[in-house]
Formats: sequence, C-alpha cells, structure tokens
Amino acid sequence: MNIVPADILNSIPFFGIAIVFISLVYWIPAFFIVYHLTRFGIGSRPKFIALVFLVGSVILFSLFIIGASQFDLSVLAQQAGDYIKSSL
Amino acid sequence: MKFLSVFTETHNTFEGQRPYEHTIVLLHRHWFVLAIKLAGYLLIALIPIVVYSGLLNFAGFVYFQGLYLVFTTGFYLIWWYSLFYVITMYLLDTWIITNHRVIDSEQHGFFNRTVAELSLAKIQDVSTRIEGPLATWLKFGYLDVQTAGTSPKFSFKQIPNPLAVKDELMRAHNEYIAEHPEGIEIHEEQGL
Repeated sequence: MNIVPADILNSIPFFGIAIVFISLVYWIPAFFIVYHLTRFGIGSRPKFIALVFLVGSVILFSLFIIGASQFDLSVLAQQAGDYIKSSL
Repeated sequence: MKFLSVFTETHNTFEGQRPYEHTIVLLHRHWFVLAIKLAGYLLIALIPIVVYSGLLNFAGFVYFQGLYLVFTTGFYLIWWYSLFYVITMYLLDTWIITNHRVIDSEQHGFFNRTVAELSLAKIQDVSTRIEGPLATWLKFGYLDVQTAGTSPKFSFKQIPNPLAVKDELMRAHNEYIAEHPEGIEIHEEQGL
C-alpha cells in the first residue's frame, strides 16, 4: 500500500517547484550583485557591468529553463535502457 | 532618455561625499590582479567543451546529449555568476583621495564591508612598497599612510603607480594644510 496515493503524486508539479527553487537560488544572489554594483559602485563603469551581468543572466537562465523544460527523463531512460540492452 | 545617462554621465561621486569636497583620485587594484583571476575563469569555461569532445568518443553519449546540454547551461550560469562576483568585489574595493580626506573602502563579501577614512591633516608619513618582478614591471604595489597617534596604518593595496599616487597625496595634504591652518574644517564651521 502506498503512503501517498499516485494521483496526488502525479498532481504535484515537481518541475514547476524545481524551477521556482532554482530561480530563487540564482536570482537572489544575482540581485545582490546588481544592487551592490549600482548602489556602491563609483562611476558609470559598475553600472554598465551590472547591465551586462543582468542581460547575460537573463539569456543563460532562459536557455537553462528552455533546455530543462524540453528534456524528458523518461525518454532518456528508455533510450539508455535500449542502449544497455544492445551492448550486452 | 535621461535614465540611461547613469551609464555614461555618472561622475566620481560616492556615498557620504560632502558638498564642498571633490575627488582627486579614485583607485582600484591594478588591472593585472583582476586579469589573473579572469584568466582562471576563462580556463574553467573551457571544461565543458573539453569534456564534450572527450565524451563524443563514447557511442552511448548520443542518448545523453540533451542531459549534457542542460548541465552545461547550468554550469555556465554558475560560472557567469561567479565571474561577476569576482568583478564586483574588484570594483567595490576602492581608495579615494579627495581634497579633504582619504577613504579606504574594502568589500570582503556581500555583507562584509569595511570603510575607514582619514583627514588629510592627520597624515604623518607616506611610504610605498613594490614587491616582486611583475609588480615592478607593471608598476603596481602598496601605499601605506601612517597617521598620528596609535591609529592603524592606512594601506592602499595593489594600486597602479603607487609612486605617482604618493606624490598626489602629498600635494593634496600640503594644499589642505595651507587652506586649513591648525587642521580646522572651515567648511563645517561655515555650516556648509
């Protein structure tokens, strides 16, 4: 007997939770960088560097999320299983 | 657009700057100190490419390419953050000489910052240290300012051209002494 029913497990959006968790883990420290550069940086150079960091972060984070969302673990498991069977 | 002017027109103003003082010199560590760290980061950035070229030799890797791509993007995301953390710490370590004081502001982490200041009137002795062949060749080193009394030394660390900075500091000190006899801050007495 399962402790947690399967339909409840299936209804939990694990991918969404993971994305929110990763977003918080990345964007809170990223905010600290932007904040420190714009608040305490002297001259225009730190502000420009903060902008470069922000743009780069948005691009890389978007690529990461797109890559992760398109990735299907069950397909990978199937393919890996087939490969292992064929190599035996 | 006026708000974009922050990227081009911001001058060397800083938090706590008094209305009657102006910045003479703004110093960061020498570019070479940052360049060494950036070179290390450049090498780290090559790791996924090297690993990828090695993994291509394995026939089964074709199934894991999608997974590898996700891990690589995550790796570069962390790498990007770490790179700019180093640049941020470099940019926030500053030494400022104004026409009234010297300010030493060092960032040791996001929530660990030391700021010390010294009136130009209290400067007693200024010395420079250039250590090692690279520092000699690239002209960077330390500038130590000894103050009156038992106060600890002010140390400008790995700054470019410490000898020229020393001359500039002594010139500012002499001008300050000439304008402020007996070390009294005349601007504050005037209520500025």
